[in-house]
Amino acid sequence: MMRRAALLALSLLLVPLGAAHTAAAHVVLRDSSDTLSSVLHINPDDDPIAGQEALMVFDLQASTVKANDSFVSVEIAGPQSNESFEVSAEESGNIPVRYTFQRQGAYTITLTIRTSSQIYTFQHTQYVTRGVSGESAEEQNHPWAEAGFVASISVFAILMVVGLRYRREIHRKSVM
Amino acid sequence: MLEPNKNLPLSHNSRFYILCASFALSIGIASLLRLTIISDQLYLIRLEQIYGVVALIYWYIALILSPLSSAVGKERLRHSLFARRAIGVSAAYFAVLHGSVALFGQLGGLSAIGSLPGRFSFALYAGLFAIIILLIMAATSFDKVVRRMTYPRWKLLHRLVYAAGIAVLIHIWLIGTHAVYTWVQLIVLALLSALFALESWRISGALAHKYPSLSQRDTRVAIAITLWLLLTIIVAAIPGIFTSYHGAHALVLAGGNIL
Repeated sequence: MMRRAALLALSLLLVPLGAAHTAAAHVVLRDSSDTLSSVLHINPDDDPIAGQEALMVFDLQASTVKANDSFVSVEIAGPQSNESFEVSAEESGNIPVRYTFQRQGAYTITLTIRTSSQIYTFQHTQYVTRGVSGESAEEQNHPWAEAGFVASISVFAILMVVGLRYRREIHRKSVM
Repeated sequence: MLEPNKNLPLSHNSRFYILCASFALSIGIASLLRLTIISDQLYLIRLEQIYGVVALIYWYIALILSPLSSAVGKERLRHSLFARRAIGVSAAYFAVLHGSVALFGQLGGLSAIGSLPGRFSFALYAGLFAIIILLIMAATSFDKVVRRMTYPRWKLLHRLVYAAGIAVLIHIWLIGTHAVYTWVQLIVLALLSALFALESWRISGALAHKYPSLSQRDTRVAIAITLWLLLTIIVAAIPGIFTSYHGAHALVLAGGNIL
């Protein structure tokens, strides 16, 4: 009886494991008039691969933009290209866009939504740093990060040295 | 926290080393990611994700130590049990970092919560609830506080960790970006199952101690298995009750405007 119940519980746990997707985090964008927000999901792994298809989903508040009452267009300006096209919004408020970034580099993605009453414009800069090489993104210096990395390694080293020096005392005294 | 007895200098206190190492780890992670990721946005996303995972690892270790010590004997784990408070404080520290990066870095501040989709903001509030509980526990982890509160009250307060655990599971399930991977789900399932099994065994032992009529081995095993099943079913029910934010996008992933 117990074994059956255990198997049932395990099978229940396995139910949600069926669907395998790739991960996508969230970037919150505000439109230029600061009246509407959108959550942007970028697949795969928030980090598109040049030469492979990426999926961008703009998640808008469904009540604000009606699918049948709006004209949606996307412009993607990259290092060597500038493309503009019309896309369709779904009833849920999602605007999915599939696009293949040709080369690595910085791309400016502009989403424009024209409703009967207002125009909303969202802009996002997307760096593509994987896949087909192209113009490498501008190298940035972060002195604080270099200092922070050295400092953290130094702290670990000091802790190890001091910890080893007092290991017997720690072993003897740090007990419940 | 760092004064289990007044004669114990910091250099002899394992908690001091854990807290310093946790602080250095947080700086090291932030620095290394900044040096390797060009995009500011991707940097914040990865930083938030890694801080969250580190917080979970610390929390899991802090949670499992107590039931594990019941199973293998407190004497064997006496050093780990002593260090547990520092591990718990480190979990709270990384959880705060995770929440701060997500809220102020990735999302752009408190005002952004109001404009997020309902399921998304609900998940954020669940995470916030868990962070508050962790902070309360960290703030009350000093010996002086334990003495002032009295141990039974302190213990009762720290039982809130289970409510926080459920809130975190909901938070991760709803908006955890890597919760969609099957291998991640399997690892989490295995780890939670192990934790539940040990916790159930400990509770059944406590019941047997309190009620001698339950002290027969078969009865204790039956109680432990029932509790383990109950806990696993609660976890299994979360996906059924709450549709994942990313799961809701599954249809979008299947279709989309192809260009």
